[in-house]
Amino acid sequence: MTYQTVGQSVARLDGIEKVTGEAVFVDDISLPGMLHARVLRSQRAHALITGLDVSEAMAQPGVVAVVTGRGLPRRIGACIQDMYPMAVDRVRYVGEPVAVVVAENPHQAHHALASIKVSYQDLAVVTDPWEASRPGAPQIHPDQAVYHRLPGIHPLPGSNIFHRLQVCRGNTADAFREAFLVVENRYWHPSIYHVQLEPHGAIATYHQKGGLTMYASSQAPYVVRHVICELLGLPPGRVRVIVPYVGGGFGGKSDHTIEPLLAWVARHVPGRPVKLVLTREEMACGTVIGRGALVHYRSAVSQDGMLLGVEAEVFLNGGGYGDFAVNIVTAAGISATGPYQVPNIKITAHGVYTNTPPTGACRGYGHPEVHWACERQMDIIAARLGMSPVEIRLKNALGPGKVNAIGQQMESHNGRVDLCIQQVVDALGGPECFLPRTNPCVGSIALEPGGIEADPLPHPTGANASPKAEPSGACAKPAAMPGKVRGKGIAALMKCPIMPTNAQSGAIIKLEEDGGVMVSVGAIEMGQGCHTVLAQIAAEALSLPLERVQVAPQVDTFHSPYEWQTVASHTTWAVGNAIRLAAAQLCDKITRAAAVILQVPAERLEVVGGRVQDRERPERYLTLQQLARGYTDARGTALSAPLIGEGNFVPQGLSHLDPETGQGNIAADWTFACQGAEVEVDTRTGEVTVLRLVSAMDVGKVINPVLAEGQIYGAAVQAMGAAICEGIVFDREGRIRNPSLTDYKVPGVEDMPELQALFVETPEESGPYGARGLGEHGAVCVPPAIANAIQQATGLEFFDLPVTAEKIIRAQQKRGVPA
Amino acid sequence: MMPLHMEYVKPGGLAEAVSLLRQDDACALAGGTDVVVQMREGKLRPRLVVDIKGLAELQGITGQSGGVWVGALVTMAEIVKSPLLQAYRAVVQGAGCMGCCEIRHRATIGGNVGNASPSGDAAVPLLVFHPQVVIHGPGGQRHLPLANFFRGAGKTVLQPGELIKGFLLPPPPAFSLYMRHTRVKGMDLAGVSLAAAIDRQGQVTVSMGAVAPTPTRFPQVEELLSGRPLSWEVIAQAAEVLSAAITPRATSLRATPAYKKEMAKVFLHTALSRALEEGFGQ
Amino acid sequence: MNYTITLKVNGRTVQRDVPAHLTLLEFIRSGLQLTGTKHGCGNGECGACTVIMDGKAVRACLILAVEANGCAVETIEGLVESPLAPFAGELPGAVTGTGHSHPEINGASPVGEGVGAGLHPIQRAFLAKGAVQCGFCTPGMIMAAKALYDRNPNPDRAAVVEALGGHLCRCTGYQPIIDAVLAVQTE
Repeated sequence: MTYQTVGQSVARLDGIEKVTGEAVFVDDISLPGMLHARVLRSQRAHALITGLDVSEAMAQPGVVAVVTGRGLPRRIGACIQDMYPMAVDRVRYVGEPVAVVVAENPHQAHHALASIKVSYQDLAVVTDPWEASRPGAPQIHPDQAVYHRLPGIHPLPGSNIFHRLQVCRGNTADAFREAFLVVENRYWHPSIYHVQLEPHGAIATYHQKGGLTMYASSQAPYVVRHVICELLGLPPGRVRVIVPYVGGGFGGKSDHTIEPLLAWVARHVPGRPVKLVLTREEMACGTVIGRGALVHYRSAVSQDGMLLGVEAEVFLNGGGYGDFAVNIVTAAGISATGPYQVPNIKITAHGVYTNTPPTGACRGYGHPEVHWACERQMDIIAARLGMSPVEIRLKNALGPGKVNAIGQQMESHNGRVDLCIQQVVDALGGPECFLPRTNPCVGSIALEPGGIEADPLPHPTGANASPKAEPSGACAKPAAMPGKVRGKGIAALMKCPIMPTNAQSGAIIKLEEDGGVMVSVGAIEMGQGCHTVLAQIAAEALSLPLERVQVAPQVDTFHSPYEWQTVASHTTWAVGNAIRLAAAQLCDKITRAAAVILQVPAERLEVVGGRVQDRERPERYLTLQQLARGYTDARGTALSAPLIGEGNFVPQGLSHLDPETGQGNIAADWTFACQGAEVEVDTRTGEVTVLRLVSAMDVGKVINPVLAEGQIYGAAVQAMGAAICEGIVFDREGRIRNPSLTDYKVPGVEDMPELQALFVETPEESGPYGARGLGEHGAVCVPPAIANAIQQATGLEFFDLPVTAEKIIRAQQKRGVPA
Repeated sequence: MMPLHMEYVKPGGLAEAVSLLRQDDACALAGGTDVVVQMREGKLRPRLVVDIKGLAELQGITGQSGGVWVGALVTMAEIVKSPLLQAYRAVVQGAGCMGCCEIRHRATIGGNVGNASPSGDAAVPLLVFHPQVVIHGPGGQRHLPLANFFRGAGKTVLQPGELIKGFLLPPPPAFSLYMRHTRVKGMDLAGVSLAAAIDRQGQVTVSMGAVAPTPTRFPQVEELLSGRPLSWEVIAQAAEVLSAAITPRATSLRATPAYKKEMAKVFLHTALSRALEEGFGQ
Repeated sequence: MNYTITLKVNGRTVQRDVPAHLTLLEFIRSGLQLTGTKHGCGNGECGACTVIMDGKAVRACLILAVEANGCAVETIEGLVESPLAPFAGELPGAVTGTGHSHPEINGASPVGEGVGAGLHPIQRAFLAKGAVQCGFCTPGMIMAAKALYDRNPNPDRAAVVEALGGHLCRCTGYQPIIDAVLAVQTE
């Protein structure tokens, strides 16, 4: 199939605005009479508020209002209504909003915060999800049983577990009894930040006639609107959410974060816009954090390396409120077996309340957490069996005709993980490069994150064949000094968009007076290039040159069609489908209008290259411009009216998972991929240099290769941070010790490895031009690929992230090889 | 957020600067890469900011009786480029890895030393060159060895009204090297760092950063290594002594005490190996 | 108390009264309404606020506005060379030295002929190499690259990495940005 625009690396629609500084983000907007808000945040992780006195702050210069949670009408939430936009009588994490000062300028607002007096009665604090799930743990939501929640959410009242998902297939007891090898480990992925370069911001005006207008740095204006409508008791037609350019989202600006808080604040100063932009340090606790998962993973394997069964328990840190984490729990549960067919499965995923900031969506959510376990486990199994990590993956890979964990049969259009694996392996030098060089069980250390009692690890067979076994004192002689070692590793992945079964996407295409089109969607351009890709799809569907297609850059709930939210890597797929439907409807309207004018049956007309023409006699045509301006005949009688196409898409045939077995049709499509890493480890300092990151993804038809590569590169380097340097550090009182970029280090340009992105393009039946989503996937299995490479280089096994220089030195010392 | 009620003055001369800095809650501002951050974080709340960037006496890198005078306002970028300072390799390396390009254009050596961070990337290597700090104040000018300048984390001997005028570096040693551990390869503060120098008489000087409240020298290690050919046995012994001598605080986010103790050995070994490779310390 | 400062911004002399606590970044964004320079962290760690002051790249969040008195400041808004010039034609083509054959962005501009006229070569290279995603780090990255080219017309990869060190980007993985900055000299 050849296309005009699809498949081309066209320049981004928003490029020129962004290289000139003209692109407008929320903090660039000033409105007349605008006030500024600053938030007083709880310094206690778990406490009752026993006193709150704002009178002194009210008297500070420039202060217009001090808003508290008093009088908040109801709890809010999109999945579980378990939170207020600011604390009412209790705080559940350090950073929870307690009061907000509104002043004429941000300096005045900030300095007035110090005059607010709060007194607390402390409660016991728990920040670890596994500890919080145990009986006797401090109860963070004692009344969770009464919260309103969506169907398909299964809390355990009387505990901190706000959602539990079970996935069961076959009989794992038999599988483990019959297994040749059982491998069991615990894996920890710490909490991380998204580190979008643009801090969260919003400007809200509560109108004196009732109603609210908000500019928000958000991936989810329709979720924001819904929650604000519920909070303030307003109809959707009275709440307008406008999203200008968003400076990076990665899930952290999805759902709702600061917006309901600001709406409540704006309610107190009707008629005046209020701006709230978080500081970098506030982003650590004032929005959502990502990941934070303990995975206890147990695999039963046959002698020839077939996976017979998997038992896994996932404990996901939900933080103080679970509303944003419900779908992460579901994602982790249904994808815990990775891209493999496993006949016997028992997986339980728990979402657990703790006293950390709430966990929310974060690039690939649910999947990186369990792939860290699953894909480390595969290398450990391969090493114990003396198999190649490539071979064991190919043997167990899902593919056409095979069945995944939730009972969906894979079709030929679902994609090919085997081809992805082969591409990565070839790019990194061939399958022999991945063979284990050391016996990983010798000197292996589990940096045990939780307190689960595990069976002792089975001991390996085979000799210790470490090439670096020669003992050498640090100062024996220079030649004997251990130096730098290299290793390669791979990891494979399977990911589906995790979304409600009714995640709707709309598109409107207006024929403009020049015969070009304006496309309106509810999808947010936050850097991923979706507006460019969607313009390409529209251009292709309408057979128009790309420069005749514009996409309205600001999403505005007053004008833009509904979109669930811009998350889950589903925009190209879902909104692209909506655009194709809209284009088809527009073409239909064009041909019907032209049929009257040209006196040719509509069925014989086609829309090609800016014209509508008779298929049989192409010299009979009208330009779209002629139609769009209101075609008039010789007498001046109008024969055409404005032409607008609309497309309405909702995924077909999805259903809730069975509450007992977790089986069901919840995933609309699947993306398979493989990622590989080459690393160099300095065995003296423990420092890891990632030399190469290669990704091969079966994303279906690639609409725009440069943008697609950009998604993979960015995701891979982001995930490299999680692999080797990122992680939020909480102290015992639940305070974050590294809220700033001074102490939360993310990879910089000096850390960048050589990046490579390869595509397998198995056309997706349900996607526009055969496309699947691509956004998060590049972040899913980079950490296990890097850790597998480190394992090959050093023989050291790691189970908790990040794998820092410190941990490598500690592991070497434990193993007894001096650094 | 910055302190709201702060005043700013840019004195025209040293005497004016000194009299301004004698006022209560006055604070000297040079490159601002530490001071502005500390003001924003509320750790520093000066009533008066004295911008000393215009003071000619604090500028410049000049040769002086076999050594070098480095004005307090010399920036990291100037140190990296200075032909005169190339012989003081460790401090060039330290200046070259501090922060990032934009920071190095602004950050000054006087600021880095005056800030008295335990891990200053200029202060730690500077120590191994035995410089004199030249201090100007209400009582005139005084000198003291840099090793005696620090009084604790963020604390120095500077009295109200005093400022660092510059540093007098004796003639350069034969060899010097600075190395550090960071969590990422790019911009980061040193988690642990070490500088070493060997002069033409075989005297070895060793300093470390982020292992004590101030950048610190280790006389017992220097004594062990000085005035004799460096053998692997001696180096190994010195590495153990150095590692045992440090008692880093356990609360650092950048490196644990155990890792710092290990890196003390690795860094000393690496530095002295490098010296031997380059033909020094025989 | 306010202080009168006079400085050149993008070639024009401006005079304003500013309080001592105002940073150069706040002054540029709020005082001058030049919002292309971004506030990403406020303590010099991200690079989004990078501007060129007296020929050197600096972080505007770490400088007080009063300190800029008498200085010449360049911001992203000053970079477009000649807004009225005709469209400069094709975006820059393939660049050697990345080690891979990357698909190039083809010359077709989705916004049509004549738009984007007078872009600085660095800006055009960013567009051509896919170095822009969310765009929030982009002005700082471009100003750092501009300062580099102003003093070194033929930077090698190491010089580019040094110039962009400490500039965070969470979208691109940096590779396209490095490719873009290196591509400028091949134009």
